[in-house]
Amino acid sequence: MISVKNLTKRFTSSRLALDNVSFEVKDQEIVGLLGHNGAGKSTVLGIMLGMVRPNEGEVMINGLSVQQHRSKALRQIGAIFEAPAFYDYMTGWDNLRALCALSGFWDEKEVWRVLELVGLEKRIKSKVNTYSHGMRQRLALAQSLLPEPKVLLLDEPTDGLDPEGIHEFRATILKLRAERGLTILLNSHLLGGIELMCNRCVILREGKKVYEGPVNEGKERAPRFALKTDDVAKAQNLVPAAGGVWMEDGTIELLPNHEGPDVLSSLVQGGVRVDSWTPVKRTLEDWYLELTYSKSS
Amino acid sequence: MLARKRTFLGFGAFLLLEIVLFIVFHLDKVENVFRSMIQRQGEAFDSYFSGLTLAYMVLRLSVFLLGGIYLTLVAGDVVAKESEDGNLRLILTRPVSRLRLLTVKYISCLVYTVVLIQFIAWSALGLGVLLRGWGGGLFAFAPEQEFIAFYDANEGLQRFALSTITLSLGMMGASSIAFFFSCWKIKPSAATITALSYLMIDMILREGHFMDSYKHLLLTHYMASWSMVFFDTIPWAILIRNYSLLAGAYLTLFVLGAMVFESRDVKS
Repeated sequence: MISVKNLTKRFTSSRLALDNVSFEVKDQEIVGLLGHNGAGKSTVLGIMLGMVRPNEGEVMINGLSVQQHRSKALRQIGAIFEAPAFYDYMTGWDNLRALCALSGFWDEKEVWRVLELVGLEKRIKSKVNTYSHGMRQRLALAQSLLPEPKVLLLDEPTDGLDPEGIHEFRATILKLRAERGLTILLNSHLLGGIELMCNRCVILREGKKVYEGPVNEGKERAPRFALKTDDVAKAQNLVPAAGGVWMEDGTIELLPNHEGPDVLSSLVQGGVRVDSWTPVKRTLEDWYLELTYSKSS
Repeated sequence: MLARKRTFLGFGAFLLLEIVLFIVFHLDKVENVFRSMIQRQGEAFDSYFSGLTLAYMVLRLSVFLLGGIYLTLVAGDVVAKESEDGNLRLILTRPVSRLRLLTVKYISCLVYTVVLIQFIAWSALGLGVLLRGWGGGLFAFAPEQEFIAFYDANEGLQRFALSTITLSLGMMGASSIAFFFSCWKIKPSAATITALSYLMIDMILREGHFMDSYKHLLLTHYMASWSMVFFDTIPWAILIRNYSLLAGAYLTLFVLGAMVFESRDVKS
């Protein structure tokens, strides 16, 4: 559905924002685009929307090149890009009308349906400068859903929302995917949200892609345990024979076909005084930080 | 454009100016100047110190400078302000081409120009008629173009109506220059000031007699053609030529602005 091919973007001679980035988003997938501030995530989205011109590469949306057929390609896309700035002195309704009129669409029935979906039907006739941040995000989502896109590009859509707002937004996105079969590319800092919503993720670091694959793959690894003991040196010597590897962070990673209780038993029998033996679960954040910092060295 | 208060500033300012000018025109010393100008030509003061003449004076004295300010303010804002505020980023997520967007905005600037000039002209005439009553001819003059003309009420009104069209077309120059600068990645005030500066410099060079041989290179030379409709014999060929050249200049400014806008990255 979305094909990003060899994107390179240089804003100035010294600043390479994207370096040969390629990835795909398949039909009806939700893919998360992750990376540190300045990694190039918004630049990727900007190029997808034809707002930023790449030095090399192109983006295809359902076989149509955005760089060559921007208007046509964008008919399939709904987007929230950076902080959407509505006309504050106009009502939400008038804003939607102005935006839709530019692309030659206006169907009041469809507009009300979308407004009910995002929960903005009661305040749509108020001026945008009276809206809360959450309401503005909902208005942004409403405009992105008009008229019936096949692809949604969401750039930090939950930025500034409170936890309830984030939860609501997430539920709406998942509902949209289920009901309308949308393909969604989601750019976010919130790893938890990515984990809950996305099938796959793409991670950028300093303009380069460092990972593309399932979100949970990174969390799966050999079991680890935290050992608390005064006999650290003795434990380090015994761990390999017991069936583990002593890691840099002081945890013990089990070798294949070894169980935690067995390794613990071997250490105790070897004379190690164990104060505590605790399983260590790796979070998505741990994995993400390991991946991005290890790639940078 | 219509939702912004700034759009209507010009209308309010001109109404106020018209009232001030009409008060000034009726001061004794100012009236005496008119009296001597009209009587020196052998005409009766009361016949030609009319609403029509006062409306013509408002146009002559105020539209170029004050009109230029308000037109460049609105046209300078039309792209640059939306770019600065981030509205442009939102608009361009829609399936609309940049060229179509710019075309719509440019046309709205031109329409605003016509509406503002028409408002100034006909509100001035309305106020003039309120003060001086209907009837009375038109006394039109322009020392820089070396003409003085007297017309009866009917012909005067026709010439006045025609002049609102030519003035509207001429003042599109101010809007077009400001629109061109607005397409650049600059602040809206910078677009306005740059456009105004260009017009002022152009006008100053035109006023200077040492530039007489080069007047044909100056935009305001063509913009000033509006008052040729008050000549005894309207020079249609010159008017058509001048306004064709202006149309070409406006199109060039639009195309250049569009080229700049197309090449920009729209991202914070």
